[in-house]
Amino acid sequence: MPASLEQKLEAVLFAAAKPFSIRRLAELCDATPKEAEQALVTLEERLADTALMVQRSGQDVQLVTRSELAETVKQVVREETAGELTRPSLEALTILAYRGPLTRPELEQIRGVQCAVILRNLMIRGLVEEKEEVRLGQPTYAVTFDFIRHLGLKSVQDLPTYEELRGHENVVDVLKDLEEKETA
Amino acid sequence: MPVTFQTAKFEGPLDLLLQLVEQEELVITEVSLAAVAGQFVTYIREGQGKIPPEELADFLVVAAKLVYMKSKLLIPSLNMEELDEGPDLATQLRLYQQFVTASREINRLWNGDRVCFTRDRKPARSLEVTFSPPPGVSVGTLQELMNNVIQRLTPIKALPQTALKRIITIQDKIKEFADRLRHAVKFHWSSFWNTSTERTEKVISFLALLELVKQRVVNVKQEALFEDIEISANDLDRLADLQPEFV
Repeated sequence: MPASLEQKLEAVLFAAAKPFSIRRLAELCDATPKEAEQALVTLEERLADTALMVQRSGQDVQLVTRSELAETVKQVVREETAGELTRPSLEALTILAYRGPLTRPELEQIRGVQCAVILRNLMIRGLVEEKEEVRLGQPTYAVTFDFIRHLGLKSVQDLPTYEELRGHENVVDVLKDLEEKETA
Repeated sequence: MPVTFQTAKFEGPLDLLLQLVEQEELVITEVSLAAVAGQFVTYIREGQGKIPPEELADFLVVAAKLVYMKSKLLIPSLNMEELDEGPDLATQLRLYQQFVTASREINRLWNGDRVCFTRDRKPARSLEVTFSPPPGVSVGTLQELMNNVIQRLTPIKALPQTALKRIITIQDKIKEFADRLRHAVKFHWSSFWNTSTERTEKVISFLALLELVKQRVVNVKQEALFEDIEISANDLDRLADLQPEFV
């Protein structure tokens, strides 16, 4: 019996043990990104009763153990100590988790204060990553898999009131104002 | 009116503003923001040492908006386009407040114990420093990256050139006067004035001279209107480290 797309995806994610973009997964498995996305959803459903789950960050996916099993797994795999988060770091991470990826001015618009130093620190700690954004002419910032993993979430969409805060009219307004200001 | 502050620690201007509003148990509206405007401004003035210099500008932006809001309540006809642009402060603060609330839950998760594990084991870090570029890196790639870095350094919107010029202070000019008078008993204004090419610098030179005359550390003599001015020292010791009184 030929392997299904869903099985191929599972095999690649398991064997490579690192994040892949859905587009890259599709390439590897001779499928279109849309087909790969559908197969991922099926895979997620099938994994529901197992110890593993598909974790997502933007367009990237990886295979991880469920957060409920942390206690048990910790005995054999060491998690690097993460340390406390300072108020500014926590605020920046929260905004990026709910609303990311964002450019630095967008983040600063919401926090009302410059964030260059905080972003650099968060990048050094591997909690935020910078992506080159040609369209905007400046990089955007988003939370990393390490951050999502540490919170024990399937993706940032699992955060409480995610939809509300992400699509909040105030966010849209504030960001729209900023866009207008920049293009003016 | 004496104001007592309970807000000991704050992160950024919106945090301070939020704390002030919540302390008064007010709902975030234009009126409640205008009500705490005075406290906010006093806070900045008294907290100058506490506010990191790189954040001061952000505090001043919020302070300006607050003062403007308050003025608008007093003079409804007031309308300044420059201050009206951008998101209104009440909206911005309400949004900030929601993210602060959300950040508490994130903090709880962060300090919780429910981590997900991947299969990648982080290898023990090698202490030896080596240069190991990713495969496929060529001189061309490096050049391209460097060009990108340089491009990024150029500000998106160039600052006006006049703001970037070195600022010459009255203090600087007073020092120059002192130097000249240490070497010569007297000299003419024209010889001092002619060393500066910039109009602003000339004006500052003259302000410095007026300051010195006012504080009676130099004597000036002018024979007739529009004639050159002769400058001599009256109190050279005091001149050396004179502070302008009005700055």
